Amino acid sequence: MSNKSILAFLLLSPLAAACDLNPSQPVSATMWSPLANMPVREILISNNVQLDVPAAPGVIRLTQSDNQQLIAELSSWPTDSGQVGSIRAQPAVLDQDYDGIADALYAVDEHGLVWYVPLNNTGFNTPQLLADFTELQAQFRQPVQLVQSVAANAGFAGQRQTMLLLVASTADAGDILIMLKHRQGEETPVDISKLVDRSELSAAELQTGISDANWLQLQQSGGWYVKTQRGISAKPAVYAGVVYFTSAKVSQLNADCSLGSDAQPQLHALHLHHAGEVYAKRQWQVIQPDAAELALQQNAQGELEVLLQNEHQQQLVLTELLAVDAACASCVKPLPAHSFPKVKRLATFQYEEGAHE
Amino acid sequence: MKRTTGMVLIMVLIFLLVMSLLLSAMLLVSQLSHKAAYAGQQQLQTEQAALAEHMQAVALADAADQPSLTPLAQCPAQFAAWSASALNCQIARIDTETYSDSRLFYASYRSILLTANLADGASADEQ
Repeated sequence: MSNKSILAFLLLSPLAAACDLNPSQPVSATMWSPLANMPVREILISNNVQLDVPAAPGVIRLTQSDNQQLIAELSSWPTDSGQVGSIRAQPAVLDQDYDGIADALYAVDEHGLVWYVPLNNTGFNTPQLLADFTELQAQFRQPVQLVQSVAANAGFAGQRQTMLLLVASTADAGDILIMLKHRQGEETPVDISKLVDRSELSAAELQTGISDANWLQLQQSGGWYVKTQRGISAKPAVYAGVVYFTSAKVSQLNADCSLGSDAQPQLHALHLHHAGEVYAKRQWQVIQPDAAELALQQNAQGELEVLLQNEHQQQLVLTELLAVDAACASCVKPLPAHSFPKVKRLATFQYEEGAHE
Repeated sequence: MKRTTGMVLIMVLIFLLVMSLLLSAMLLVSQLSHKAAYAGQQQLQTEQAALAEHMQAVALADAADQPSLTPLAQCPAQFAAWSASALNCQIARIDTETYSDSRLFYASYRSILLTANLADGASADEQ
């Protein structure tokens, strides 16, 4: 197809234009197995796209990664019709207890129903609806991203927060980045009105940082969303509490994630917890190679840098990275050089096995 | 010499023998108690030296070459969170053991370390 016909196609159907940020391979994970002689098994998690039924109702299939043997398939959902829309976004895997075994999946169907699907050793437990974003009239096709964080005002109990980053593609407002918190034990699904709209920041906030009232509201809310009015062109990545992603003009973003000549790609950097400013601006223009992904590297001086890279090209887009700080809502601190590898001592104890042999 | 004088002499000799036995037994006992007292102190000293040595080993630890690494699927949650794909976290164990000079006393410590590294070895240091 020539560039012109792609452009015409894009102008006619803006929803189809969204570039697909999903990896081509199914997600791999590790889960328990009911067999005593093989307690864990490597699995692949396939959605509608990987099963090659993109138009069918939503389905998730678990297969064993070594012999492709079917473990379980989830196609009946606790909705009125028993079905959900096609699942084109790659699900995210939750490991709640850090044992390396998948405990649950987060999946979103194309209309915006966000599901929490606990896993057991034979397959799926009953999915739980976390959020219903159908009223956005948007397409949810981009991969679900999971970020484990802790609340700012953390007491000892329940301080951990599981955050999901979702991308909703709309016809009129471009792509919307949604941050949804999942609190274990909360039963009622949230909708978009329970989230705080952070598309525009007030002049006061740009001057002095987020106000205490706004910050409190965000902490109590189910998350936030930002209408970018643009097309997201690189999968969001979270580094040190800052969400980075790139965007381009919707009309200039092609289905293969390459950019038109007038795309004006921008790098966005948002505070993970409230979507406020971390750097001097929330977004600024950068040079983006076609179909590039965000990557982090440590240079020879040990400083961290953000790159946009594809198979052939690397473009440095940000140095002197900042990290968010829990001391206050707008606090940031520079990421020190030689941050990695980082070693943290968790515990020390006396240990006398095999003494006095 | 009268027969009784000889008896007294023998009695005195026996008395002296008993006394010297008692004395040496008391000396032995006090030496032992000293040793017992010293043992506790030396065990404490060994433990302290072992802890100092262990902490030094932990501070110098290069996490990558620890033998007992357990990879974590996700790094532990923190306020300044990271994407799961950006970092690799591992749990490492460091064991050290220390003997006293006499090799009669022993202390050993184990630490559990969390190591975080950039995913896919993107660090220029390692290349």
